[in-house]
Amino acid sequence: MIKNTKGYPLTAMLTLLFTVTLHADVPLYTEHTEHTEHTDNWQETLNAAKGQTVYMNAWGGSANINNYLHWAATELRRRYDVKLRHVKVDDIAPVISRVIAEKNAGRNTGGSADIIWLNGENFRTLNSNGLLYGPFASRLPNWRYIDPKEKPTTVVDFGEPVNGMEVPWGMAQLVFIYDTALVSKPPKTMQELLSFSKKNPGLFTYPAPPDFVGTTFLKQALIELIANPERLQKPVGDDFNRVTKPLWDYLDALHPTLWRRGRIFPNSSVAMLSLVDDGELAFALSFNPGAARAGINDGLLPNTVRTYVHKGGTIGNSHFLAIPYNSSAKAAAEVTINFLISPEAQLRKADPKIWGDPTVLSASRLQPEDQKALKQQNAAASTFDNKTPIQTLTEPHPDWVKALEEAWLKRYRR
Amino acid sequence: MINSTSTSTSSYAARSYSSRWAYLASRGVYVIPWLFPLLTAIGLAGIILPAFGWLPALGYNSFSLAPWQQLLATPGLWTMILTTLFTGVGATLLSLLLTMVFLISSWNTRLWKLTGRTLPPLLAIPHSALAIGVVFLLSPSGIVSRILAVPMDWLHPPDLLTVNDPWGLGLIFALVLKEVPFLCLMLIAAVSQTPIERLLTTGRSLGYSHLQCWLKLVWPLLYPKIRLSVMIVLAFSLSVVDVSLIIGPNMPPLLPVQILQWQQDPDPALALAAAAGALLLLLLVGLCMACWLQLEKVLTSGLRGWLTGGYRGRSRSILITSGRLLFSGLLVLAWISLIVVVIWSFSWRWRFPDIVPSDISLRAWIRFFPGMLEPLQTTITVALTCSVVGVLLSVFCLEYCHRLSRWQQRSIVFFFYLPLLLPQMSFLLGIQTPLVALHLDGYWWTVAACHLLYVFPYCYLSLVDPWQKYDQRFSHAGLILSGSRVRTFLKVKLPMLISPLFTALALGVAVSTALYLPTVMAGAGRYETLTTEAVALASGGNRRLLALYAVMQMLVPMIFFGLAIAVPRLSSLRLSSLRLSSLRLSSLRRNHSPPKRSTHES
Repeated sequence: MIKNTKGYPLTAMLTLLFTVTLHADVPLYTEHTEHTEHTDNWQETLNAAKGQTVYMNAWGGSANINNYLHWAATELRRRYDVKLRHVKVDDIAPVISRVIAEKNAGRNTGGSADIIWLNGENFRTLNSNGLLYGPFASRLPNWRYIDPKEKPTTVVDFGEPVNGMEVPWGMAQLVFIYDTALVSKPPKTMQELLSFSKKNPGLFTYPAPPDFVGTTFLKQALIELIANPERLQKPVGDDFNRVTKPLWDYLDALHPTLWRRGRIFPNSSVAMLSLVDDGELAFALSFNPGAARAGINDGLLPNTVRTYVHKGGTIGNSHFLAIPYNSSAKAAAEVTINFLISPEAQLRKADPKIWGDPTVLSASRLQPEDQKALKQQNAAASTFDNKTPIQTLTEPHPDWVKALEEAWLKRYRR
Repeated sequence: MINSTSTSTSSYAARSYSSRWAYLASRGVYVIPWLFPLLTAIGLAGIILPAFGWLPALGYNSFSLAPWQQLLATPGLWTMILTTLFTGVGATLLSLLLTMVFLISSWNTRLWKLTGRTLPPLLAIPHSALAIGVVFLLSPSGIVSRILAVPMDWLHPPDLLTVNDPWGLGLIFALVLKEVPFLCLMLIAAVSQTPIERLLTTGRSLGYSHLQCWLKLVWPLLYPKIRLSVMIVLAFSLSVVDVSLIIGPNMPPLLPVQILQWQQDPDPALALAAAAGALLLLLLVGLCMACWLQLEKVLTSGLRGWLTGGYRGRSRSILITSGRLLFSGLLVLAWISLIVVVIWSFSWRWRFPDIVPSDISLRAWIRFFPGMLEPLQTTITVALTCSVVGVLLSVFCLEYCHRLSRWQQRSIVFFFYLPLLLPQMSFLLGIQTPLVALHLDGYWWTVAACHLLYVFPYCYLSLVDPWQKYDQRFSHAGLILSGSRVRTFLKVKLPMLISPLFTALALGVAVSTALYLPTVMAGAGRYETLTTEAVALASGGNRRLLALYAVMQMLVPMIFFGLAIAVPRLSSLRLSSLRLSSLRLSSLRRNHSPPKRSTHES
């Protein structure tokens, strides 16, 4: 901590200065030369990070993710003398509230979290209240491997410009996993899903909101069911009931046909995997296109499962890493995040045997051998039926998350 | 006078040292009656003030009723309250009833002795591990349904609500499995203090049937002795969080779970609603206890006619046999569910409807064990620290509390048990509020201190009996010979009580290992134990991993109980072979056979 307070204000100011000039230039990132100007600064960061402990607050419900972070911790310790501690939370929301509570209590240094894994609403809450440190994204040496033009969701989080206050860590898209042993032709729209479920009751369900995959399912249904999906890009207004009426009509019809007749719902999307393995469900939802392959490798799913998305595409986004303003180990947090977006760490993360989370890096910016490895990995990992590129729908305005969750609880919690 | 001068000076030094020590301790003991009420007051203030809108740490500086309005606007609040009451009271009633059935049907039989031996390990297993076992047993893809699959011709698990059901029946079952052993052990202790044989003989000679003897003569004497335990069970069942997260209803969840979710929500207004909910829960638990005690009175006066009416009853051996079957069935189910947990931790592929895994391997252990070391370390260090401190405190209280007035003693004992009698969720939320305000949360020692609140009463409870049965004449003899209270205590009293002391230590470890909320509330998410990890994993999909954590949860207390049995034996062996005075000591010990055991064997 002492090390940190000594070296830190200077680098922070330099970063600020740099990003301000960068914003004036408009293109977020253009030349590699910008990076070289900062090698000295980066060396300072590396020095400051030595011996620091980073508390990374990240969802701990998946063994693969936990093991991956365990590997990262070992490497960080060996290479940079940074101690990464994975604080496993079952929901990131309490961490957000803790940062807010710390701010209210005047705990402006020595905060309890150093890295938070988040996106969307949680990012907006922290960012709009000035509770994040940064901008720092573009000063990370490995930022050069990210191409916002190819992957727009790496710099726009649920419609909110990121402005370097968080760094993309992985890509996500809502996918449907189904067991070919139970279903021959999966439904490819919400309407088809309803008629399928009416014919085959009990085989489908979705995680109960506010689980984020459950909420994404609601958003996906809303986008598909309403005539004017562009409306969702703007904040919720007085017309909430009118806009969402098709969704509730649809769910009222769908619920009696669901698993357990819609009286209970799984707690999370991963809980659906074991239900598919048991043959209780024929479908699982995931936010990770590689989940099916990873599940097969882990012995969690039968090798008869395949992945698909709906005809018009499905909602996709990126998930990010951010540093709270009162972190006591900002330098080590930056070193950690830089390591986590390095080609080596990202390729490992994308490996379905390890985790199977798609990379945020752009193939065109990688070294030839990394490019090749990525291509091979993608080919081996895919469990998609057809090889046509899948369409990504943009997330609705973050306002909708809370409104939909509250309305859902009011309607379906008896 | 036979002593040489050197020994007499050393004994003088020891005496003066011991008297100074004793003096300080005797002063210190007057702090205790005030310590626990203070803590309770802090805990109460920590929920009452925020419940009425005052929580400066989150920027709420004025009183209002808004938290209550928010609480009342919660979708499904009434369902939540009713289900909480139903599961809590239902589990307590059922457990008490089954305990009674056990007593009446199997007292002095082989089952009774077997139970006395098999229950302690079952009791040492954390609730959450047992709940995980019950899920593996009863869920639609569980063992029971796999066994039924062949005769019923099920290709897929049946679409039935057996766990996480809206009525909380699965939860009640898991709670009963855990609470019956607790009540039975308390009952076995109570039985050893009651002249049952004589009562039964008298009853029978007057022509009362076996059942009537128990109900009319023995039970009214026994029940008051386990009333406190029943109240603990009631408070626990009404406010349990971890078991409920694993096997309880989730649409809506039970009130304590909802409070935890509010408390963890980023919206600070919900922190106030959590406090209001915690106060509501406290009132509910208080109300239930009051009703329970009132009902006891009503029953006692209402049944007086039946008790003294002279109805002799007929012999109903079928009732006795079925009671015995019911009870042993319950024990067998508990053990099966634990065995299933162990099997799951070694299975890689185990699909429905296979009764045994199709792929048994050590892969899960090899792959996930390294990640488990950290929670394991936290679990053991916290548990050991708490139980050592808990036992030391208990010994201190047992040695010195008799100096206090009777009124003070009684209030102390009441406040010791208070953490067990208050709903955990309410009490801990109340303690957490000042902790957060003072930035004291998220430290290892805060977690350990919160564990101590729950570990200490159990350590104390388990030591009261041996301490009372200890024959003071040994100490008198020691005092005459050594002239030092401290040396007498260390060399005579402690070695004789070494066995109960180690049991208390192991009990402390078991209690601490099982705790979920104290770690979550005081640890600010920074400290994970096996239990918090297992509960978090229960919502995930990896059963091998979940089973692995549950197995470790069981192993830790079992290992410590094993040590508690082995270490005193070894040390007493060494004692008798090394020490000159051993001859006298061991002969003393042989004569000193605790009355508890003698009634046991009679």
